[in-house]
Amino acid sequence: QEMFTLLAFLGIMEGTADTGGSGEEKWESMTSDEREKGIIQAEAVHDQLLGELTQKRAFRREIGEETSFCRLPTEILSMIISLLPFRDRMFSRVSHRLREIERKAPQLKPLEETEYLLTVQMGASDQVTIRTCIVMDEEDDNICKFATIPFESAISILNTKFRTVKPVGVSLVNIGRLRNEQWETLCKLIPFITVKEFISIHTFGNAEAMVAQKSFSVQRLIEVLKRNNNIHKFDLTSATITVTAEQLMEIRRMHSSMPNLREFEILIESHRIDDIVKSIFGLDVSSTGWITREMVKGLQTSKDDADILVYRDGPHPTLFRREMKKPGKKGRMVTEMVRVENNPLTMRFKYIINNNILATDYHIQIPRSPSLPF
Amino acid sequence: FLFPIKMTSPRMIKLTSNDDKTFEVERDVIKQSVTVNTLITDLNMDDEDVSVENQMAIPLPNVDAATLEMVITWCKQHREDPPRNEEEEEKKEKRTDDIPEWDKTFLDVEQSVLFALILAANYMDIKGLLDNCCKTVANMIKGKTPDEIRKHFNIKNDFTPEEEEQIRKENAWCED
Repeated sequence: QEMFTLLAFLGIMEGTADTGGSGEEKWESMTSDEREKGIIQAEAVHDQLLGELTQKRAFRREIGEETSFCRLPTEILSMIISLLPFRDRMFSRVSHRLREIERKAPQLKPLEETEYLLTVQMGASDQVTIRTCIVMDEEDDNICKFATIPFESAISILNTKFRTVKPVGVSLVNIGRLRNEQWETLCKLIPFITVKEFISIHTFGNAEAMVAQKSFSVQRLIEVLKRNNNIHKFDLTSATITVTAEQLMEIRRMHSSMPNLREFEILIESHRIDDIVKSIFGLDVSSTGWITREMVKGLQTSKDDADILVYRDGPHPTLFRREMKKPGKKGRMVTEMVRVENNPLTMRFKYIINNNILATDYHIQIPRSPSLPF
Repeated sequence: FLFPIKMTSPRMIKLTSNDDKTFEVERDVIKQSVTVNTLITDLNMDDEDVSVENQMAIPLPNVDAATLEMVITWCKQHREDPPRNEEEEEKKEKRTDDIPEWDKTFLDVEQSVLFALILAANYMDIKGLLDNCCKTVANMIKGKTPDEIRKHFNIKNDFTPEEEEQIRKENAWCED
């Protein structure tokens, strides 16, 4: 800015009708009035120059520099998108073109020689996200691949590629959002997906819609799961509302006929933990060391940003605790897992904590179902 | 017996940018560009009988002089890199935190320069440079909200409020 003022001033000095000589000499020869006038004039010129420059910069920004991102060819943008982990894939919300590119950039890597988990996650509008996650570190989104594709395409992929590629695990998420006919298609397919390790079914989704559309869903799920001996994990999270007491007991019984089932997950209200454990599993909390509310209270941490904390608390079971702070959301999702040494079944409780106070207030996402036996 | 050792100077190749500037670059350096490499082979330019003065310059109509200079600098820096095995590269997990330090500093430039480099690397088919440029851009995007991405790259939001709401709903499942 000073340089501009100086240049402008010297420009004016040079421009004055005079007999030549340098700006410095002229400055010396000027009266204080002339100098003041000259400075005012120079400042005006400076402002004008600066204005022009700013305009030029803005224009350059507008037409060239910054918009050049959008001018990058689709294949380059697609390449950049494929480098981003899922949580950073915000392109679909930036502009129409980037949304189109993201949609068309599934970048599903050929995984013939890689062990991976496969997740089919239902989104809205018949879109399915297929996520393949390399097993080395399933928490690391960087090594996950995502593709959002129509349901029919997902089924086609499951039917062809993944039947031969043999994922180590298959996880179906949000199947509560499936329409009846889609659910039927999936049910036919599940027993034929070859898995090496486990399959988990997350029924997370629109629970009310599930009730309306698929009152049979859990029963059907049980039937389907019975036909696949490789089930290690059964996740009924958020489906509790649709599960009748009989179905829950059926699942409970089913576990004995499913030797590979190691993990069973449901979502329940925290103050019912003891009752549920007792009712469903016939276990006495006090004697088995199942988690109790008092124990959960003891887990409160002052570290608000804590990501993963592992507790090994004397004779109590090992507790695994994971907290996730969602960007733009007030609460945190806290997952507690309890392992009981003498019981082959592991039960996991999930809580949504809205106010960061773990000890005093639980807010459970799904209301207690009147169909539950407790 | 003593045999005279023939001292050969490195084979040079001429490249001309779209603003008519000609650069002389060692054959070994520019071989990293698949496009140039193919042209050299196809045009039989490896003929040692042709002096560099008489050699035809390879025109690069999509690359300006400033960018070409940067591309050559990058190629010089990476001349000793082992040849890329594209099949292996394909299999590798995709990361953005493995950009070499030298490249990080080299690519710490204005967006317009970086994008010009991307286009040049793409046109000249220099996979290593293209990869590192794309990773640099991906790192700029990481952790940003859609609004921040728009601001950073001056992208116009061409969604109507209704469309934005629809997109928000579509993505709700991954935010819950």
